[in-house]
Amino acid sequence: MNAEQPRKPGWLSDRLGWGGIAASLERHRAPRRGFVFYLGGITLFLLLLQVLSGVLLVLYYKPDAANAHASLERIVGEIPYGDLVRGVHAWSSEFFIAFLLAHLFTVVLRRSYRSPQELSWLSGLVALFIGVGLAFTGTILPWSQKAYAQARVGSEIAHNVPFLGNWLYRLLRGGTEVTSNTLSNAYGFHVAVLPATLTLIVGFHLFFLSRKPAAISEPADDDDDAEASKASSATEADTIPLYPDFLLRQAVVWVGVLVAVMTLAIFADRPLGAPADPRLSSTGAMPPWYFLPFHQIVRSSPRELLGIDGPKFIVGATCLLGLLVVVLPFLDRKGSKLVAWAGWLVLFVLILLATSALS
Amino acid sequence: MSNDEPKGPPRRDFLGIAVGGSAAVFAVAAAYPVARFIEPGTRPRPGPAVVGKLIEFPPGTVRSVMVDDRPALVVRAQDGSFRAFSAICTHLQCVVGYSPERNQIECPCHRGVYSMDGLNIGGPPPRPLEELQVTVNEGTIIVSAVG
Amino acid sequence: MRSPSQKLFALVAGVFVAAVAMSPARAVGPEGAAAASASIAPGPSASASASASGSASENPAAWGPQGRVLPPAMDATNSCVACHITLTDQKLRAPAKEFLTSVHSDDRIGCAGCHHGDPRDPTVGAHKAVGFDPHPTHAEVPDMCAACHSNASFMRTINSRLPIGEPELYRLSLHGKLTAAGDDQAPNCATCHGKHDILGPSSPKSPVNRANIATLCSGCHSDGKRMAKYGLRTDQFSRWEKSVHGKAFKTGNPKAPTCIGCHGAHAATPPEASSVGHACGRCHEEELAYFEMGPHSKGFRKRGLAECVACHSNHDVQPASSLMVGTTADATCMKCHSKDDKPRKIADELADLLRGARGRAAEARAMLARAREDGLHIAGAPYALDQIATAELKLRGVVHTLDPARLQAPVAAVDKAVDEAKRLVDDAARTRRLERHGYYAALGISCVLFLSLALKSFQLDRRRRDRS
Repeated sequence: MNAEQPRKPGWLSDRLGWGGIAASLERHRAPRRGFVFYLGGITLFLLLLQVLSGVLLVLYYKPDAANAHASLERIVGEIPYGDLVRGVHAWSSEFFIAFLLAHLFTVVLRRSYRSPQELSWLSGLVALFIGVGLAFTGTILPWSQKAYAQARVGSEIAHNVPFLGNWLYRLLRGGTEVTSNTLSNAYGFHVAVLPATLTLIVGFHLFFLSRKPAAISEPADDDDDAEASKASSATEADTIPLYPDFLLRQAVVWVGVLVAVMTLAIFADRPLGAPADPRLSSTGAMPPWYFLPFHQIVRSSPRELLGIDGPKFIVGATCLLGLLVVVLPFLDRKGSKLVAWAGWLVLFVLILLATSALS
Repeated sequence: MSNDEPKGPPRRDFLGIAVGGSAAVFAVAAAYPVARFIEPGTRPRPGPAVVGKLIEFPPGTVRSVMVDDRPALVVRAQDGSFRAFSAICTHLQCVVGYSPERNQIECPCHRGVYSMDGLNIGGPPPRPLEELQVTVNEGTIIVSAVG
Repeated sequence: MRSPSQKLFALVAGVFVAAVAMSPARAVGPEGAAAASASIAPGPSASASASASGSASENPAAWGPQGRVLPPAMDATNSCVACHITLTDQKLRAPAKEFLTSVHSDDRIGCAGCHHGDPRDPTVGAHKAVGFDPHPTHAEVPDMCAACHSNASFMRTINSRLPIGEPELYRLSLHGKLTAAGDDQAPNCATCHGKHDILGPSSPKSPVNRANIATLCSGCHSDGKRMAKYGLRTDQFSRWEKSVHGKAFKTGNPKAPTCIGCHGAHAATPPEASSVGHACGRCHEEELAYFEMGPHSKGFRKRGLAECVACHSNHDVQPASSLMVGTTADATCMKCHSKDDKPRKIADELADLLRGARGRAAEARAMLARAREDGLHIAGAPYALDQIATAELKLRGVVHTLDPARLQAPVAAVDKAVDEAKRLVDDAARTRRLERHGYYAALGISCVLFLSLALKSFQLDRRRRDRS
């Protein structure tokens, strides 16, 4: 494969046994072309960025209703580079969700979930679920007017989940009302439970990937088996070694993403908003952008559908759809083109709903 | 990265150095705000503290209070005069306490002993306790650091 | 300061009560007159001393619970109300109805507490009992109330927290004196508190509740016809409404004075020009103390000028401004001193000091506000603002000494606080500039890293292609 001679090991390489690791990494191949193959890596990098900035924020954040907002004001206003750290954390969380969704959609559109990638698909979906949980708990922590409103609405929406609703509701609220307990629950999940679980899941995701590398090319039409097998077996020319070539390219993209996140963190204002005052009428009920399609459905749905409460019906239907997505690799073992079309359609509808929610 | 390439070592070396160098500079640049964030510098001290009303301090009272976020002892002598000392031992910064049995200030950590004037009269403490200033204003007792 | 004046009041009260009791002009019923003369039987001087010690009203008087020996069970039913509430004539029914909602709806008081008669008799026979008085006259009412409200031992049995002796204070007031002199237009207790439907002052419906009291006073004092007889102006209420006090009251400031804040309630009497400062000084203590150190205090007293009012006016007092001091046309000093050389010089000096310091303070405040708007967070800003406000407050007080030498220290304190605030803003701005430069540098470094990594990647690719 590679004509290069092993170079003389350095002091550190010798002790780490780096030559062996490098050789094994070099045997792994990665696709030569296609930006889609960088989406997962970027998501991973953004996760890392959030962990680093999050650990810093934990040093000054106070998770109780009386002090939460003031402690964030102190971070942003008084601690050197506090606004930068908070900005990086907040913007990279937006990017994280965005790239996670992009990753998911490209996998659907390329039908890369198909056998034998079921475990990668499932672990990826769990990661998405945890990611949304992190984003939700993260919006509660500033304990601003907006945070309070979203804690109320978010937990009430979770209330409508079939079977688990009541349990989720009380878990999210830390009781039956949105109180200081809601905040400390959100804090515990945001800084400990969810990140720990996510790290484990991402570990599995990468492990599955290393066992059964993702298909580089899209599957051809179902009826043309010969061509399909030909196309899916990657040729040498289509691939590059994972190390150093692919990882170097990955690093280039990472630095690019970092520059984007930093630029936004420095120059784009993210006001903290007024501290939460439950007596005031809820402002900022507008959810983050990734919930906008859902928001639009909730907003424009009738009071009752098929004899079921509107919100209950919508949440139930969403859960059903979610279940369908989970079992997708088992329903569609070969990667039907139909799924790709359905994927495009769903994407189109979601964008349509989101834009109508904004108008 | 390989040594057997006959052509263009200067360019390759240059790029390698550029990558390594910019990565090193980048690491330092990223570490600086993190270091500053972790160590936020000094906040303005809270300043003088109201520790109570005159009526709460009959002569012969010794009371532990907080001044400037640090513990302090307010001593009212039998003659009615006030003195206050930082309750931080000059040896290794333990918090000292008043011993009514021996009528002296003691540090439990390493058996330091101070007189009621704050003088280090026994054990390892190298200096007397830092004295604080007591002001009595219309029945309110205010303790502040000297100077 | 308070207790001698109270003693004085009590003495005056004693003398006055004695005088009124002997006055033939007093229009009371035969029983009332008999009782009153009985109470002063030992003679005027004895009555005065008795009143001074607060025991006069404990004597058996025309009204009150002392004479009541009714069995409790009978009292509890209050047969007066039981009967009157069934009557169809509103004039007779209303008092019973109102009584039930009032603070006096207590079986130890009952109707007979004021009107006498015998509530044990459930028929009109009650009306024929000795002393029954269905229509006390205007001047009788205070005595009626005093029977209980000046009787400490009785009041204690009702509610030990209730104040005692307001009727005595009332008798000292101009209102009380006029009423006693037979003026039916002057208010008695019922004019302000109501008759049968009296509520406690904490009830928002009570006319003497803090929220309603200014309206209550203005009900008579803004009535031109009513005031003509006394030669009083009628614009006090409308002027107060526009004053700094009235505006503060409207915003719900619990310390803003209404009429009674300066004039007193039961002992309402206009303050004398020479003592108005004490009325103001009850709240503006520091200003009064400094004023008394200055030259105006003695001068005003000599000329009979009203202390604070001479410059600040009374009912329509406006927020004090540094423009009041100086030699400009509308400066307050020029009202008297426009032609006096030495005072003009001092006024100019004071104005320069005052306006200079306040201007610098305002500038520093604006600077901190601007910094906040620009997103500069300054940890010490609230403290610095506090310092400036405290120093200014001191300065505003000391100005009343009208002594430029005395102003030096507070002006220096303002300047020190202002300098501190400016230093904070400068520091924060410098830190912000440094941080901004740091951000640009970091972005630059990131871009260099991006480029060198990208080039390295290209190089790697090209070498592989060359080889294959």
